[in-house]
Amino acid sequence: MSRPLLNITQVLRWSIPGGSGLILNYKNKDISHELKSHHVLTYRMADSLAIGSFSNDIKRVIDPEKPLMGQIWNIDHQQYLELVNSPHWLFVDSPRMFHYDIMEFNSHNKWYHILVLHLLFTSYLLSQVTWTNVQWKVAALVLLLGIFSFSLLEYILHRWLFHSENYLFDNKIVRYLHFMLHGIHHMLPVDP
Amino acid sequence: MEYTTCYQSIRKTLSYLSDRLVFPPVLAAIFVFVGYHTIYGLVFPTNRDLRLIYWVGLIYGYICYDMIHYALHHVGKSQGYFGRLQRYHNQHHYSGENAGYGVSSKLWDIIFRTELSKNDPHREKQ
Repeated sequence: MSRPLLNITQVLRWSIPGGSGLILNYKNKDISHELKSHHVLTYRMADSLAIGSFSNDIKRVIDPEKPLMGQIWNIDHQQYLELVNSPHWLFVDSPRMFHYDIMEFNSHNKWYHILVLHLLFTSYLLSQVTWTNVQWKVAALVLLLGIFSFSLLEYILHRWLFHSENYLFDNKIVRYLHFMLHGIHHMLPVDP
Repeated sequence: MEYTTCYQSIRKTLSYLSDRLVFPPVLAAIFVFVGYHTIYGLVFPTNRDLRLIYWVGLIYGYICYDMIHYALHHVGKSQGYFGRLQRYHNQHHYSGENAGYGVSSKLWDIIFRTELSKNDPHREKQ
C-alpha cells in the first residue's frame, strides 16, 4: 500500500473491544505498524477506509460502488484467488452484485422467506404421496435417510465444489459461477 | 479471545444488512429440477411414494443447513454446542478454508479427516 490516508469516523461509532482510544492516539500519525501487529487481516481491511493517499492513487481490484459480477468477469485468475481466499471490505454497505435489476432482486432473500417457501413445497410433495401404500415406519426411515444424505451432500459440495480454488480452471465463466456460488461468501462472510 | 469478540462486534454492526446469506429460491428450483431428473433412477426408481419422501428429507436437510448457517453468522456469540459450531465455522472463514467443510455438523469432517486444528485463536475457549 502507498501510505493511504484513513478516515476513521465510522470506526469510532463502533463499540470495539479495547476502545477507540487507541486509534485516537494515532490521530494524524502513522498507524500502519499497529494495524499490522493487531491481526494479519486488519491492515488489508483498513484499505476500505482510505479516502486519499500521500503518494500514489488508491488502487483497488474491485470497486464496491459498482456491481461485483461484472468486475469479477474482468479480473485475472491470481487476483480472483486472492480475493476469495480472505475476507474483504469490513467498512462498506452491502454491495450490488448484478447490473440487471431482476438478477439483483433475486440475490436478496430473507431467511424466513426461504423457510416458508421450502416448507410449502415439501408439503405439496407430501400431499402427492399415496399414504395408504406406505408404512409409517418405512416413511420415517426414508425421510431420515434424505436428511442424512443432505448432510453428506453438504460436505461434498463444500469440499469439492465450493472450495475447488486449488484446481479451478483459469476461465472467466468458471470463476464467475464459483464466485456466485460460494466465493462471494468468503469475500464478504457477513453479507452474502 | 479478543479477536473473536472484535469480529462479533463487527458482525453485529453489519448484520441488519444481510439478506444474501441464504440460497436464492430461483436457483434452488433449477437445482432440484435437474437433481431430481439426474438421480431419478438411483433412489427408489420403482416406488414413487418413497422417492417423494426421500426428496422431502433432502429438502428438510437443506432447510436445516441453511437456517443453521444463517444463524451461525448472525446470532451473537453463543455457548454450548451451537457456540462450538460457531467458532468452528468462524475458523473456516478466517483461517482455514481448506478444512472444516462441515457447517451443520462436524461429522463428515471427522470421517474424512478434514477437521480444523484446535490450536487457533479463532476457536479459543471461553
